[in-house]
Amino acid sequence: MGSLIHEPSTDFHLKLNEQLFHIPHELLRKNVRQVHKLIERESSTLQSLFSELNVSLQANSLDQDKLALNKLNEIIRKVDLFERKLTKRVDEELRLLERIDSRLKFFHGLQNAKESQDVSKLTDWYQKYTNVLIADYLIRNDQVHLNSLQDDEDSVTLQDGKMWNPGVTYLKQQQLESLLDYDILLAANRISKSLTVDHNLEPLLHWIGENKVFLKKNRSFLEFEARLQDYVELLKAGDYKSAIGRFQKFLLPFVESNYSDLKLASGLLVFINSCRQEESKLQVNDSIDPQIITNDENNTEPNLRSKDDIYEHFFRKKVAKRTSTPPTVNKVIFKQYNKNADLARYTDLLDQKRWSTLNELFSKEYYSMYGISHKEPLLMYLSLGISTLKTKECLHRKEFVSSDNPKLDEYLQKDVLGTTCPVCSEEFAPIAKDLPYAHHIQSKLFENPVMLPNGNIYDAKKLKALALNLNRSNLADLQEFEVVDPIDKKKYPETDFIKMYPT
Amino acid sequence: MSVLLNTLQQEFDKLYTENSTPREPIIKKCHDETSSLKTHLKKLKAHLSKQIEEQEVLSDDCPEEEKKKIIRKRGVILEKLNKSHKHWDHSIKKQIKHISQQHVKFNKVALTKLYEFDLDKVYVNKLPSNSKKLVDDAISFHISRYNMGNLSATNESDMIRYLRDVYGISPETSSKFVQMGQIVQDIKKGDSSSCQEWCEPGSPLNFELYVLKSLQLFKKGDTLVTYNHLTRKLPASSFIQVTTQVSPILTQLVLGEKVHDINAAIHLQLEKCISLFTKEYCLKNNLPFESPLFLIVLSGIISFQFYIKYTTIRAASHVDWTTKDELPFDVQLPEFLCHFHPIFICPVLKEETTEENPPYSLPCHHILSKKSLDRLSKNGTTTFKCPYCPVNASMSKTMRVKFIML
Ligand SMILES: [Zn+2]
Ligand SMILES: [Zn+2]
Repeated sequence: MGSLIHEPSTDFHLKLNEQLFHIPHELLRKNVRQVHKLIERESSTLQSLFSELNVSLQANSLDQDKLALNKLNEIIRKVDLFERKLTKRVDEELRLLERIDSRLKFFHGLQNAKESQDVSKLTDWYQKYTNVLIADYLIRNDQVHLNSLQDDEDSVTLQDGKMWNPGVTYLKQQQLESLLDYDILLAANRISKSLTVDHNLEPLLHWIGENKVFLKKNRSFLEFEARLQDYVELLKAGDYKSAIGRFQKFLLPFVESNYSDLKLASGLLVFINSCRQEESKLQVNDSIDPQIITNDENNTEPNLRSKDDIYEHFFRKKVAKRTSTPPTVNKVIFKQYNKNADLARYTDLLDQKRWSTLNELFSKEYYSMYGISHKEPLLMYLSLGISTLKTKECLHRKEFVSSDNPKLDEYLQKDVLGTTCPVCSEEFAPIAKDLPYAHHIQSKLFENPVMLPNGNIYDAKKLKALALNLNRSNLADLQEFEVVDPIDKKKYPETDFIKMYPT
Repeated sequence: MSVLLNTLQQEFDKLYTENSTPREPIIKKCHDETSSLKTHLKKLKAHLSKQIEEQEVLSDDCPEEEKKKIIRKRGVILEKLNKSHKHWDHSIKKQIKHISQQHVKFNKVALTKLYEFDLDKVYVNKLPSNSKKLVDDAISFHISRYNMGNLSATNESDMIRYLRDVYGISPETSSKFVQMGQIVQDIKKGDSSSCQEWCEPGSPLNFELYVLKSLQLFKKGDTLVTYNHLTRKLPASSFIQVTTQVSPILTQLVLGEKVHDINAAIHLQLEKCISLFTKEYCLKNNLPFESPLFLIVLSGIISFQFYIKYTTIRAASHVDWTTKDELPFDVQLPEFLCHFHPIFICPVLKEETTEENPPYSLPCHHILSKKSLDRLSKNGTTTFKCPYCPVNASMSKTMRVKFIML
């Protein structure tokens, strides 16, 4: 199938957008798995209920028959409940299938435009496609707001309530909501923003909890990093007791995979505490003993048999035993750390940048789970598109010579020489600056190139049309067979035209 | 023919029950089996209740015959109950197996064939880090250009406020499109009078609006009004179009026929008017007809296939390449994306001319780049022959030229 504007084939587009089918298919599979489980559970429940029923009905007595009737009632109730659960699953299945269906229709639309050779239909299709890309970009990047400004129908229900986001609103206004799995993107954005803006780990930890199997399969460090952040934040807030509690509960399980990180984390407890003491002479939280830092820097991993061993290893002595701590000890330790290379590692651990690193890590896992590109497709198309359109002449200001007629100058500059090149537009010129140029192997010029004595080469017809136009609108007073060069604003007779052969 | 699309469609259709209208997902069968089990059980429950009632009125010393009857009845109920249960158990398990298989097949036969590109790998030349604000601006312009007609707000200040509150679009950008958006809103509501007022008499838009109005009147069914409109409001200078577009309506009107699928015809004409109107509006107000963002995205999509082809070839030949200064492949773009700037490729060096290496005209009016002139004239020390004709030239007889697109 040939293309109308050198656009790729429908199959190529399908490959570019495989996630449009991949995601609902994954959700469908999940749904079927749930149905499977439901059926298995129901089947075994009914199996045992029916054997009880059988026993009663085989007893040949009125009392047992009555018991059997009760049993049968129970069975009917069970079946009824099961049927209702199935209805929900069937509705979900239908919803997901419809999503795929509308996507198939979308690509059939592309195929139809191609087959009927209808360029305007094709352009409309690409308009829609672009609008989906924009919505995708906005959903991923814009703030997710609690539902207050918008109508109810514009909001999306996420795990933590009703939300709205400009991207979803745009998608709905363009009636393209079936072409994007926006709930999935929005949920990701919600978690990202809670990390980078609110510094809140709750939504992330919740997601981690729901996707433990996937993360484990991927050998992801996301959970460890999140738990570590949690611990660090508690330390920063001065809540040492909770910090140690979390350390024991959530970080110790990683002792084998992240031993050195754990060592650093436990050291941080002392470090941050001593810094605090230096800063102000506040009473140290009496549960902290600066001796708890491990000093076997060069030792190999010790043999840690029990949880208590591990805990003992990292926090040498039990907490909350001493009531007073000689301040000199703290000072000494702090000074030691000043010399220590670990200082940089501690400050890294305390750095606000860790929030965005954590977000990066999360996004990667999240998008890979759904097979969605990590970067916004819009940006990828913009990068490729800018380079494809960027010529050597782009971004250069044309030099103008002013004439004694400002009106003429304005008209020529704006309406005649002004370019509609998208790369040269206000928004894209600064972006295009450092991107590669297009590669051309053929000249792309114009019909009837003629040169004026000043070396400027124009399309002869257009130059003549311009002259006519200027005369008509009284911007210039030209003789017959006379033109104006819009660059140097001088008049030239058509007899000066030199036909050029740019091969 | 689109191979993948057809396969995808075929396999997708198998996720629905064959010939069901409205289409039912195959999973619905599990539900139906359960419903029918429930019905059976309820029926058998009624039988059992009745049987119990019968037993209760029977006295202990009733004839053996009666007792045997009870046992037989109970036996029948028991048998039917077990049969229903077994049937359900067997068939629901068969169904769910079938469904799971069909899903697997959909993935295997259709979906896996789509997995080929990794978009993250294609995004090689990242946009500079300060692009966010600029991309947002470009989106603002795009939304103002294409989404005004979809807003529920109709009043100028409401529209501007809405776009600012929801999309963060500056009033400076959105205000350029307010009038356009309002007129589009009107057309969509079926009222094209504001557009009629806006457009110039005798323009193509004027004619299309006339056709739209005719169709709308025709649908209402008032023959006389339609006839008057068709004959009296006919814009001048559109006789050729009349024969193709108006005459058929007129004929059908006279014959009292119904226009086939009038709603679809109106919708199509409506879209045509909106597209023409927005084009004229942008032209008149010196706004780009399509948003720069759209044109760039479109170019990006077109170039993607060239990019893929190139990487495949390069990967096969194990050659490293960079795209830092210039894309390493040539992209064929449609005409309307080709003529923003003149592009001159020096016929000798096959390189695009630039500020540093500008084009020069020879006395024979053939054009070469500065670099090739330097090479041919040994840096201006000798005369040389034009590579395209027998004319002799020297450096002093060449002239720097400039291509200018109007
Ligand atoms: Zn340009
Ligand atoms: Zn020559």
